[in-house]
Amino acid sequence: MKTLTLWIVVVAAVIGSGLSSAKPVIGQPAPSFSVADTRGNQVSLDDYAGKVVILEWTNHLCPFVEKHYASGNMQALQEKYTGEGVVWLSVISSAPGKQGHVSAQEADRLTTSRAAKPSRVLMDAAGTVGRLYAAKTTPHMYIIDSKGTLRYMGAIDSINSANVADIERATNYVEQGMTELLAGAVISKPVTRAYGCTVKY
Amino acid sequence: MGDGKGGYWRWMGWLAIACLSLPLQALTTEPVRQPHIRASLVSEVDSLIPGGTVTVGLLLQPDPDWHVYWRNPGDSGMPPRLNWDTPAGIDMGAIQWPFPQPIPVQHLMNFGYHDQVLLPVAVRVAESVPAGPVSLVAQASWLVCKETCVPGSARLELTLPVRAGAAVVDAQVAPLFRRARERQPQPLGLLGASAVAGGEAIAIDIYATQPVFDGAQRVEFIPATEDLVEYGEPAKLRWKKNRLSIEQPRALTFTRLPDSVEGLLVVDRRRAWLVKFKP
Repeated sequence: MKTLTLWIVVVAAVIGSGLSSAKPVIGQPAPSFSVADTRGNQVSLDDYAGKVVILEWTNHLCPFVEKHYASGNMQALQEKYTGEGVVWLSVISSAPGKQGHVSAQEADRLTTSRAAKPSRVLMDAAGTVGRLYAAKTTPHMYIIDSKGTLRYMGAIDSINSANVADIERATNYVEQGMTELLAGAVISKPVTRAYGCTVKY
Repeated sequence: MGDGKGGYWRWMGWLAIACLSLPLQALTTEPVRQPHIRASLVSEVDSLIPGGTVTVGLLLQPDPDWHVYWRNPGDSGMPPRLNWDTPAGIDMGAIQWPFPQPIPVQHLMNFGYHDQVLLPVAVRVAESVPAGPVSLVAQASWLVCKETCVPGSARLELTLPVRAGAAVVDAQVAPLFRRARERQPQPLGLLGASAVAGGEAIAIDIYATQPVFDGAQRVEFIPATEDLVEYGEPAKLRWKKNRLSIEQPRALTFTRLPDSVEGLLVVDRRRAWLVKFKP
């Protein structure tokens, strides 16, 4: 019997496209962007040269986002860091018709009703900024230092759950990273696996 | 699905038969209905044997087109969890995860179960456990998703008798356990295996003790190790007899090769092999 000795090559289909070839890399300049906020102002990362910037991907209907807002955890972080002169940008990348897509007015109402304290809320319905940062989940968090270098990307904390009770037991990676960064230390966990809902591109 | 009048009477009829034939115990908890899913505990056999091991399971039944997750959910999602409360002398094992399906979401990838899934758990009963009914209480939690996701949880209590002798398999639930067993990944004997990190991609080579890839039409790699490869990026797999190579772009979260690489190799969506090795 002749045995089939051909190597079989299978290449899985490329699912989706439009993923930018530039990738966010720790220790490299954070990808620059220009996108409108809820007030219609064009916001660019370059506007914040000299300041630490935190990016937060959000979708108010995602249970994992709800976990961190219903508990007040996200608002507390926003208040703490914006109070220290850090720029906090919440980014909404949900496409029109998808979960979490809101008008600028609705986004502002959500900020008010949840007593959220971001510096600005960015309207990224086209998903451009989301893809530039390879944001996968809501929440997905990034820290950019005052020189514009990407210093952290990943989860908000260490426990993948939608349960508010887990927040207290978890290590908050944003808080840990910010504490280390502001102390001039190396961020001990610069990359973690983000958890939550898929960003609704 | 089954929640119309017909389903109700069928359920009541089944319940009546179950009550007549098993006056003391139900082998299945009544399914807890939550948004887009039903959850219940199921026992394969009618009793627990002192000094023996039997199998129970968490049965998750998502609505059509909804899914739950494998132990590594992929780019998003969350695996089901079970926290047990059982009497002294009764030890619950870990979930024996059947192999999942890849579930693409846009350019990302999840691993989970589109249809109903039984997650088996072994129950070890010590010799010292006295005869009589015992309750196995599980706090179960899960995330069920279609495009959007709904977390859920339930307290499920399954009561079974402890008695010496042979346990009888329940014919009603036997197919569920059979299917879950058929889908258990089998450890793959390795003559050698390696993983090498390049600047862009991870290259994995597997050299099995047996020709498990012979004649395979399709082999899929489902990583259990996180932060190794980018799940949603295309993997290039080549195989022949007992050898297989994988090349897949590095995860965005990749920092260095882990001490242990673990994943499933699913052959023709019928059989899964568990590979675990030091790279």
